[in-house]
Amino acid sequence: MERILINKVDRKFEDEITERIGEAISCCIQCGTCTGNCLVANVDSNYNPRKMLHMLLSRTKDYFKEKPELPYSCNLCELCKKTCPRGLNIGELNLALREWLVAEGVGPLSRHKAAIEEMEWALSPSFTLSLPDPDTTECKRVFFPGCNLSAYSPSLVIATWDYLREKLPGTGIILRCCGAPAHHLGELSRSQEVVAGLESEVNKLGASEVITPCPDCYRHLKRATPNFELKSVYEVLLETGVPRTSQDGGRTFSLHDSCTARWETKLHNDVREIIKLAGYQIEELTHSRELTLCCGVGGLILPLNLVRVMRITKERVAEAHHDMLTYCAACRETFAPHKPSLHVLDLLFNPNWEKDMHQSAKKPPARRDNQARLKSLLAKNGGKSP
Amino acid sequence: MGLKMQNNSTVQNLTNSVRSQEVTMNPNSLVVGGGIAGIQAALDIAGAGHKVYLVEREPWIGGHVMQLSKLFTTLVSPLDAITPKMTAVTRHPNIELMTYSEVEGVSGRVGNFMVKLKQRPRFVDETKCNGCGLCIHKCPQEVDSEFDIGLGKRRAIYIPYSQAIPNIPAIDREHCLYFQNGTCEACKKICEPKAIDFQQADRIAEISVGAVILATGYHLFDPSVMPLYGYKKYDNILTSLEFERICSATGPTGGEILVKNGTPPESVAIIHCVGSRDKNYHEYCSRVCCMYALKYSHLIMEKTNARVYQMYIDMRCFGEGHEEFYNRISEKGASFIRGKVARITEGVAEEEGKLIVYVEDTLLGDMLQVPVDMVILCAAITPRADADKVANLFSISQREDGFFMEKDAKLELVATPIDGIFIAGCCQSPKDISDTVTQAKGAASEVLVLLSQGKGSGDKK
Repeated sequence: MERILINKVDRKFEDEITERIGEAISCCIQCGTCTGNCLVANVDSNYNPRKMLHMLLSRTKDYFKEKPELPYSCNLCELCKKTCPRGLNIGELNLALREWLVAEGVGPLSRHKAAIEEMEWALSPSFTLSLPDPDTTECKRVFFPGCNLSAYSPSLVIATWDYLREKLPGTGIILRCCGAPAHHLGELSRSQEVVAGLESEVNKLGASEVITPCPDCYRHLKRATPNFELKSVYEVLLETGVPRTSQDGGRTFSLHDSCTARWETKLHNDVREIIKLAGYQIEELTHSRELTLCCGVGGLILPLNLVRVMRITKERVAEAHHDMLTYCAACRETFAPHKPSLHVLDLLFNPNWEKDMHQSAKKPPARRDNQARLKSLLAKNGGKSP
Repeated sequence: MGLKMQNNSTVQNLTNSVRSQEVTMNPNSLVVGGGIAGIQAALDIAGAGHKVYLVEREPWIGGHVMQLSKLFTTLVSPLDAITPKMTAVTRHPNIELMTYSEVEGVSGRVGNFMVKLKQRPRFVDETKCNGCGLCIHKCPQEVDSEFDIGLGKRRAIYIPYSQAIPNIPAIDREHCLYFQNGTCEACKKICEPKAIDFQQADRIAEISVGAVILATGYHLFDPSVMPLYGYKKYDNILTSLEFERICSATGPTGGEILVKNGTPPESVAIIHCVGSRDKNYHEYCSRVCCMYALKYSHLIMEKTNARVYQMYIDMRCFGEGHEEFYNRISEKGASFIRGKVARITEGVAEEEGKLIVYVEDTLLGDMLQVPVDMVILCAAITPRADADKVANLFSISQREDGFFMEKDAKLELVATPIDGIFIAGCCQSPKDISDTVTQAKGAASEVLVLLSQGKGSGDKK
């Protein structure tokens, strides 16, 4: 084995990362908690967050030009930050590396092409739509369902919007991508453009508040500090009240907290309260709330390795003794091949949830079909329920 | 005891004398806390001819040290090492031992502190009790033993272990049937010297002392707040103090290392840094755990055939004989895995009945799943829950980590910014018995220097 000539450590990049993470990455003691807890590392021995950080500190980031799939293998779930004894966020580190790879022309990778096309399609007239509340003249707030819920169930989007309009007149709707895919792939400027586009649509409708059911959209928009007020639909539903849909004592579900909602304690509490009010019980998993595990598709790692994602999902559902319940449509679809799974909004607004719980996940063509169908339904009726 | 004004009374001196007056030191002193630090400090002060009040909240002295099985690195039992000191405390003419007592109020200043104490009743007359233990034998009420940290039982009239000092039982009013509903006087009936006295009441005592040493000790971190470690969720996951009770001759198993079903473990994992060196809980290092973890390796391999795994981040063996101890124990064949444990779960299928420890071996870069029968969590040494109350009572400060603040972090580790109030032992920071005893002697020395002056200038409190 030859000796390695150590290149000078790139202090500037290290400073940049420190500013992003909020902690000096050099304070890592290489204890291995991150790797021990990381689901990707647990199922894929090629991915090791501890080693990646040490590589950055003691060698050079050029190593990642040779192995760009490594930073793109992170779920961006931030479980490492929760468990790290020094408070380091390796998810942010990976995101910074992705942005650097994009700047260097190496990222996104060729396998990401389909995801980028999906996002651009969801920003095209095939999907985009901005409507005020058809019953009133003003539009104070906007329901922003996001791509995943729209792809999962157009009827659920419509039912939720109808309910919100009934309780809070003056609620419009915007169909559009929030830009999270661009952000996750390291395309910071495209991501900022997309958020600006959303701000502009919200402005055009005269609204000042955006209500979203998707934790990924929520986290992305919150961190982008937009010029509108951002709320989760669960926070709003708690204020409007929810229907009690359970017939009996209430079925028990295993509740999965989305990894993108890791730090949103109020959201965790709101969802639980809503489920209780609707008349159901939940099993609290060991990895819940701030300790939750990614369903597997976080950080857009699916295109790189499908089998790896399936292994992650399998580990996640292993903790659950009941059917899965979650408040992210992407998580729902990811669990579907492993266990019957539902979205919280299904329990509230889908009378066929008992049957639909067993539905398999939608593949990409079906997702686009649903999204397009949602747009045409809403556009045709001017927003009134068909 | 009076205040003497300076003789010169120019304006300058008057101003000075308002701020700084000569005081006559009360030659008595107070030590709060009857653990090893308090015991040592009291013995030293008393040995120099000064009267010292040793106040201990529990009915018996010794503190956490007496819960330990063997002490590293000499591997001697605290019964052998500490009992002589405890006995000396009870016999020393200059020590007034006040057990089952707490400080309620403090006023005054260096040289003349007025301290109000509340003494709780044992309901046993110390002058009559001969320590026969028949009362305990007859008591029908069984309660979880605090000394055994819930792993063993005691009675409503009890003594934590048979060699406890003072060797006089106490009645736990909350669980005693006589106090609950007037039934049962089994202990009174069997007591030959007629020492049981249900009529005893709280007593208030007021003492004056020239100086105070706080030696109130520590509290062990409760890993229940770490859901991933399974503490209190799964069987056979113990904190260090709980394991000390299992290993101890005075403990619930008589010193036999057994898992819950009563058999010896075939494998044990000892997990370092639980709640220590962790920004999520306590950022500091608890200093003693690496050493006692090595001690556990030794005890487990001596008493059982179990395979021992140490999951560590660093091995901190800086004291005298410590690195050598580490060497000796490594030779005996414990497995050292460098990695901070991610989580612990219960095994399934072939591993049913085992605990599975998930950790990355950072030296090899391998993800490990280690099936064991018992897990020992080296939990952090933390300030006691009422440290802020005690600090308030004596007007001293706490550091950011919650321990009592010393006057200077490098050179004045037993003094506090308040003249006449000193600190010693783990209430100041985590440390082992050797360092505790040394610090206690340092505090005693400071007190003696202060009191020996007879007079001194003390800044107004």
